[in-house]
Amino acid sequence: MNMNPIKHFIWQILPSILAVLCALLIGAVIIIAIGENPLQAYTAMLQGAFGDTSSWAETLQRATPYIFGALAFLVAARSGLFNIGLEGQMYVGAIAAVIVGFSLHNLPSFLHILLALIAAALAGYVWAIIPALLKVKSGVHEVISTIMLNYVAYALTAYLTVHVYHEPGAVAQTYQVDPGAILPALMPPSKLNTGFILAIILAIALYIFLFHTPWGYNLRVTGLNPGAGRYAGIKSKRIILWAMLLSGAIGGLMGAERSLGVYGRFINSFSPGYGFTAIAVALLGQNHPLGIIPAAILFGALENGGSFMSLQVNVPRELGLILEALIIVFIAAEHFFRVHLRSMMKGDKE
Amino acid sequence: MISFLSVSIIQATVAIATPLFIGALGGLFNERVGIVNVGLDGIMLSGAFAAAITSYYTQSAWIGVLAALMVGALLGLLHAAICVGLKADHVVSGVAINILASSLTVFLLQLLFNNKGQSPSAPKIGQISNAGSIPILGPIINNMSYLTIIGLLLILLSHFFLYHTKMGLRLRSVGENPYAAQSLGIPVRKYMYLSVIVGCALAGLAGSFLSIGILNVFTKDMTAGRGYIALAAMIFGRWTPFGSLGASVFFGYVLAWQMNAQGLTIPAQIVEIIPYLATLLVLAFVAKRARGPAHDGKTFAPGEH
Repeated sequence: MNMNPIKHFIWQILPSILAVLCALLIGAVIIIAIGENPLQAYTAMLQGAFGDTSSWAETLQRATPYIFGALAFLVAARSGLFNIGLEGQMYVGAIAAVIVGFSLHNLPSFLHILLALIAAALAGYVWAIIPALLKVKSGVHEVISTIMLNYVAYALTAYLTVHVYHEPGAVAQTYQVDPGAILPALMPPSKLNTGFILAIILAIALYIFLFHTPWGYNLRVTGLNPGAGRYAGIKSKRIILWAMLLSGAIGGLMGAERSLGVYGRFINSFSPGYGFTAIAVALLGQNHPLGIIPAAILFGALENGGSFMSLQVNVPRELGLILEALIIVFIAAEHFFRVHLRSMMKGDKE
Repeated sequence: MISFLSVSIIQATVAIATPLFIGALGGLFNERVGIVNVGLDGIMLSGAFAAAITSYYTQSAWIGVLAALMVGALLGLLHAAICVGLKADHVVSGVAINILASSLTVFLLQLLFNNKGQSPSAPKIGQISNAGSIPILGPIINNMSYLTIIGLLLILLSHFFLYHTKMGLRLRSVGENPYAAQSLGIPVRKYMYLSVIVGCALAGLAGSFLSIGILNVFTKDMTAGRGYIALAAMIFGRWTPFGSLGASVFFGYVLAWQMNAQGLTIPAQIVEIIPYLATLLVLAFVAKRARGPAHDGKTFAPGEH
């Protein structure tokens, strides 16, 4: 189909917008069912998410792990892999960053943070080697191996937190990192930190990599059709391996941003499921490095606005999370949307 | 002295294994028709919730169990509609179900009981009592939940159904090669829908054991990943009912032994890794023989094929 760029762009984002609208519609039905006014609830949500600069900061803070996570997911997805192991890669990354953070002292802050981030990326990378090799060598599906490794990572980090680096006290958490290893806050008292800027830079870099370099081209061709790639001389196994490792490394950075930027230490099972929700963000952003940024901000807004809404009207803040789940359900149906929209458009022309 | 076998270890093994093998059986009915279901954990959570609150309102644990089966079946219908009807990605649908289940249960807890942590206590499922005097078997089956016995019967029934009936053979052929099955006149979609719905109802049943089988309340995110261990048990058991049962008992034993071995120098977290590591090792080294159904996870799209 020959379409002009604007038409092409609208065609690209239409399913995402439809999915969000459908989810909001069902959310409205839920709100009516519990005897509240959906317009009032959604207004409160919007106000809580974007009402003033401090609410913006909180929304962006909540969006940050989703940007990292969605980038990690899409790199693998573009090569044809489903990385459902982001949680595990995030946990090992978070704790690796923290170990570097409290083990080293008197370093220039820039260097200390850099080393901690490298440690996190390496840890996530190592965590992705196992499923990547299993996939390439034994043909084990990455969905199964990465799910198993999520739990190995939960247990391993819990062990390190409770038995090795435990800070005395009731909470299962490690020592605090050196002040120099903390990712500087952007708008205190919000926990929004320089990790957000890093995430945006990473998104732009990945965009250039995927769409303007031969490596990115090969990766995308492999994902679309491994067989065709082979005819064009692309070594699909090697590409799958590297895509998974890159995905794991970014997953590690997702953890580092939380531990170095938000908590200043590793807290046992800190994640409310960032690694899974990030999959939804990636899909909503059409697995596009720039598309996932508004998608992540939307999810940050649903969670942040949800908290504010629950104070204004009698709707539990989990409504924000329910909306997230509904958005994925509708995004999952994207293939269906596309086929039908296309046939509808064709029908118009005939 | 560390004991490897005692009445308390056996009873704990059974209690831990029951939701695993019922859940694994549920996963099996999904995957045998080629539908991957990583939403098993969320469906178990929903089943646990439905069982607890229904049992609370009706004051009948068995009506609670029925509710868990129905909620599971409903989520199964959703999963099948997304995967089979809309031809969407199975894993995406599973992830959506998990997020939906964990948020919706807390949302409803807050609305119904003004408490985000747990439900009020509810009547629990009965258990065998006064069997302690029966030789050998007595100490094992004493205090065994009726749901465990139902689960064991379901394993037997499923084995018979899958391997000794015409319908079972057809069901398995759908997961291996739906196109061939269709060319033989098997209603492929119908098999997919029904098997996924039955499988998810079983996952709901597994969940009910967590809330009103072992305990008498629902607590937030109470599955704590047991749906994923059930998935691991299904794989470890090579997609068969007896294999799933064996794997679940093995996992249950490992975890029960760790809980009972006091003064042990092995930390709990290390033992908890065993089920996942064992599954990974099986996949890595016997992957060729441990393959699941050939069409597992793929979209059935006749005409586009």
